[in-house]
Amino acid sequence: MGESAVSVRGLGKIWPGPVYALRSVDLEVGAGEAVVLLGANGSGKSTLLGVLAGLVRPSEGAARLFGVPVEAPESRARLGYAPETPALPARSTPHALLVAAARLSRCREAARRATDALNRLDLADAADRPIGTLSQGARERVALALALVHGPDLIVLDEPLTGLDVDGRARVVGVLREERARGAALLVATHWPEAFAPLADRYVTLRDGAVESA
Amino acid sequence: MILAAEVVREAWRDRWLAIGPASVLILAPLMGVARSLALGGGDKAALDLGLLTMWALAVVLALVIGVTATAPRRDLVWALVRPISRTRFLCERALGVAAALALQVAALTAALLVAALIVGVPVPFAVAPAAVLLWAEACVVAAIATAIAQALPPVPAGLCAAVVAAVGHLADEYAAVAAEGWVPEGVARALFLVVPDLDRFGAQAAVVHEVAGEPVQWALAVGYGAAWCVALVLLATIALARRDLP
Repeated sequence: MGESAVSVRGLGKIWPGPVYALRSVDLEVGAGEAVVLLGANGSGKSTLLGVLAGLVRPSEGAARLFGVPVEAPESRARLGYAPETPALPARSTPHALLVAAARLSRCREAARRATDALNRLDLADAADRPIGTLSQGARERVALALALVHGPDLIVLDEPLTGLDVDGRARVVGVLREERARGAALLVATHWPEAFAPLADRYVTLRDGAVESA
Repeated sequence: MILAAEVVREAWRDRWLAIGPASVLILAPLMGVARSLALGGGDKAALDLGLLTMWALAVVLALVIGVTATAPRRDLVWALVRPISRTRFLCERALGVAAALALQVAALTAALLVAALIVGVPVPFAVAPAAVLLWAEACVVAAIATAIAQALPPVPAGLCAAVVAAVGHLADEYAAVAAEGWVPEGVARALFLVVPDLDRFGAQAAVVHEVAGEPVQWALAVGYGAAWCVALVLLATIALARRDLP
């Protein structure tokens, strides 16, 4: 097997309380593999994805992206991440935000990449409107565009279909299918596994912070 | 400097930078009233009130921009998940705050000059170094807000930073407070060490009374402010590095 996109070993996260959000989680996602993460609310899906995105510090264990520990900023060079119900700067515009994001990810031709990402997600008309004036579905797609603008090799999404109508869901799944075809690995947390059935190589279920089935 | 530029854009989009030019609408009537009500030295009274208003606006804006630009809010996650360290994130954002405040103080100074022109009050050249010192003070206040915003939600952080800034203007009073026995001398000394002395940046009296300032003193005050800004932003980066952002 080649390089792992995600390698998680004995990962634990204890929130103050204490609340055991993750318990000795082991997970591998191969390069180019698509894994759908399932589990009830509070099962630890978002916490796990937050650790991978460098937003949440693990209490124990280790997580690596393409061999780089998640504590190192460099681990996020090949990562595209979109949180559940993303909060975005209301007065910024999608295009300006994507250009800044692409530049922070050290992309050349940031403006062109931003335009391409917006076009792919059917956001061309909204490119220069304040984000606060967009519908929830459009904001969700802006968040996905932010995750894709730099052409990542690993795409980590938390409930990417929340707030989308039928057309929006089809558009997002279609774009993810293209990313998969490009060779990107996917790790998607969702309550709608059937929507990702055409993409998924594997399903992993979390229960009470531990891997129940993989 | 992508994030620094982003802070300036945010300050513009959020209309904070419009307050500087718009302040002429407050400054002109206030200075006019002060000039007409003063029994003698109306020009000085008008200038004094104008400078005080300018200072108050700059400090309030420093608190607001300092907290909103650097607090680890959810709408900044898009930047935090990029391949940059949290130290770089915060340092760049803090530089952006300093740049936004420089624009703000320049606009406030211009507004003061326009208001003075309207009212007919002469403004001495000393207003230029005074504006630089006001910018330095605003940067220190914003850095205080930045440090506190890493540990508290935005509104309590802004209020706490305002209290610290107020205490920072009492540095000259520490000895008197200790002598009065209101607080133990050790506490007064500790306050002197852990809170920046913001009175060092005050040049209002020099402007009003046209007292020639010492450029060396101005430079020392700016250096003192820069040292405090570095220390406070460093403290903030340590706090941010230890935070979970779920």
